Amino acid sequence: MAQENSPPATKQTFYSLQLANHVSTTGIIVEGLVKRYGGKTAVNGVSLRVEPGEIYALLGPNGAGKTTTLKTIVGLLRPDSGYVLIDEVNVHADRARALRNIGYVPENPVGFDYLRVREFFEFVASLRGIPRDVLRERTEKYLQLFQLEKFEDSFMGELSKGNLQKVLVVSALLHEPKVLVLDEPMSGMDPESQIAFKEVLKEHAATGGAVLISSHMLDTVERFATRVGIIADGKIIAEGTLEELKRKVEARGDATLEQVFLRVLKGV
Amino acid sequence: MRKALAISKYLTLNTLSILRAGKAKIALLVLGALIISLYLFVVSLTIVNPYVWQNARKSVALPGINKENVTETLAVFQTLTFIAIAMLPRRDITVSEQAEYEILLTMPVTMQEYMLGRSLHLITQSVLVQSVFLVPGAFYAAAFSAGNTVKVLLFPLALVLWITFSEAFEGLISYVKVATQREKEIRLFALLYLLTAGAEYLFAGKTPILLKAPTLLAVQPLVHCFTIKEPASLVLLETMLLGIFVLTLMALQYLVSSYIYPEKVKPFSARTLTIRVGIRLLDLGFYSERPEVSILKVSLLRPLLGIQGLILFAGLIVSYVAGIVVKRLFPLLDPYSLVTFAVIFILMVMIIELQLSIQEDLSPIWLYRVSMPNLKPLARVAVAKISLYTLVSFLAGGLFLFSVTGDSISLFLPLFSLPSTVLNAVFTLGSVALVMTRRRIVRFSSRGFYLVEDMLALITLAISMSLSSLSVALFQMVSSYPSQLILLSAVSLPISLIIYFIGADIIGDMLTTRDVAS
Repeated sequence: MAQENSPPATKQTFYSLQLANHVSTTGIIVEGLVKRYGGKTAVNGVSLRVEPGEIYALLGPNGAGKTTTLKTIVGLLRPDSGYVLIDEVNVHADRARALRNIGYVPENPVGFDYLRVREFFEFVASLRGIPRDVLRERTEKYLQLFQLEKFEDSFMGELSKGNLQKVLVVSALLHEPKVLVLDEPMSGMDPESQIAFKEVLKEHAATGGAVLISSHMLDTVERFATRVGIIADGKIIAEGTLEELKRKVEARGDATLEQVFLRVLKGV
Repeated sequence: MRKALAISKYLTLNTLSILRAGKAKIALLVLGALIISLYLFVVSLTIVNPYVWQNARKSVALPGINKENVTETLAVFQTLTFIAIAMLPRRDITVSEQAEYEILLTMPVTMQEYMLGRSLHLITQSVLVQSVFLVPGAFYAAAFSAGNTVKVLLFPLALVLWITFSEAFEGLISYVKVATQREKEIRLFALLYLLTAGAEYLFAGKTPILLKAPTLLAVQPLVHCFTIKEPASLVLLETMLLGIFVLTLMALQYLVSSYIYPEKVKPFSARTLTIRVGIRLLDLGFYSERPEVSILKVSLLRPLLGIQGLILFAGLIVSYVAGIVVKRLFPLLDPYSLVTFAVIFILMVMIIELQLSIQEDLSPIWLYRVSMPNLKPLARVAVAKISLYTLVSFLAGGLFLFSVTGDSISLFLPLFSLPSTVLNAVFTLGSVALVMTRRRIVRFSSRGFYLVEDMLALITLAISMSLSSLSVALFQMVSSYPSQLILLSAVSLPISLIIYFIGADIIGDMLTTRDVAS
């Protein structure tokens, strides 16, 4: 497969490149990502960077290419060209290694219907190499935080959509990854859990983690995202902090993200 | 390897589904202990009184069946299965749970670890299902080998290895197809192989070596557990050889897996969606002034006039051709036993489609409830649909029987079985409707099914299979009296219609009113 944008040839070269640019080697780097399904181009040359300490919100209308971008970043889809580096590791060259540092929540909250919540966490811990005592400690912490204690022995297939989503969020946090990739993680969550979740994300970023989140909840995203990227027809059409975007579209100082979003997309 | 084992363990736990709830887990353990006790009992009995099995052997021996034709039949059937797998279209690895793709493949596991774990899970699943053969197998191995204890104890191992061989070989073919993306070439190769085997048959006039050889190594140790002549040491050697072969197949699978990308793993739901959306042969237009016509078009005609209909039609042709093949290759086999097996097998395949179908039809029940005064039209269409799908298995069975026996009376099988088919449809839809009309609104399942529905599906499957076997058995009994058969078939149509209208209307009322504020 032709790779129009090739990743750095060796780790050494990449290190040198990064050092030369005074950029941290951690975080997410997406360069020239193209993904086609048959004749349709879903993602068309997306490039973005999520630095450590950042919460980057990827926004866009339905079918804009958000989920395809996120799935490509976590290695579920193979790009037609371009590359993704997670904490210096090329996802598509060494997927398993890159995934050690990622916590991912999919758009559709899906689980293993006949595994109990506790068993699911044990499964995730086995694959991520989390020691049993650490697992116990973190499970307790997050189950309490998201009010899931009473569901620990429930089958995943018995959970409501919101609770299943919270279980998946916990599973993405269990190994305390450097990078979080979250596709609409709050769509089914109750307000109390949303507050807790946002606090977790802020804390994650504050301790040097990188967060890439896709969401339609603009008013919520506005309050905690440090940078925003707007994607339409598979291309990033605007990117920056909320203030930068406001300046770009010449919006008023008190304009909301929702207003900026519409202005970027439709010039409204 | 550690991660592969973890994947296999948790996928298997997930598959055990309702069996894991409450006391069923203990029941499974007790069952395992009983099987071990059974083998110990058979071995002890042999040591105490070795002659008991020699007498038993005479009573269980079946005329016309010997180790040569059993070995041949099993080997040919298995090779044909592999050829069929190679010829069937496959561009992806289909998995039952969407979470395998969305969650599992975002964990730090290589594709080799994942695919190995998955293969081990599929093998465990098959072994668990087929472990029922361990019970009669203990007695038959003891009887047919005239009390050879080593062979009795080797039988479980030979059976497990044979199942593993089948799974590993089938998996390897699929993995190669997906990894190389050379589906056309592989299909062509399989077709040429089959044609060459056919030419060999025409030339030599006996079962082609090409169809026996590839699987003989796997079948022999299993069959030889039931014979006297082959010494136990030979069976042990054959079993060990099979073990080595199985390990080689697994190693090959592991190697090929590295060329498969996660993108090629597709959930079963996505695959069925492709089939269900598929190609529409005719654009019906769903508008009608009469709601029942619109429901008929959406629920019944839309899938039937698409790729699903083509698959059903192809299934009928395959049944007819299979009959011709069986007649030529295995003239000694009893056609009615084969038909019972075929009808049940097709039903088991169909039940998955039926489950999805009922789910699809009843999911938008809220829409029907808020837009129609009564839901009888929905129930009538749903019962007709389930009946039609079930009837296909009898149609296939009738065509198979006709091509084996040449007796046109066989074609009456679907009509004769119609009352039981409709009764089964009413029962299936009725029981599902009972659950679905009172389901909690917010429950969410990636597969669209829930614990209760899964349990229900198992029960309805068991009832469907029993009713089908009964229908074929009754048909066999009456088929010797053609005039009575024709009379009964003629009566079966009005009886079926009565069951259909009464049953569907009862369900329609239930769908309309159950758990609804009055």
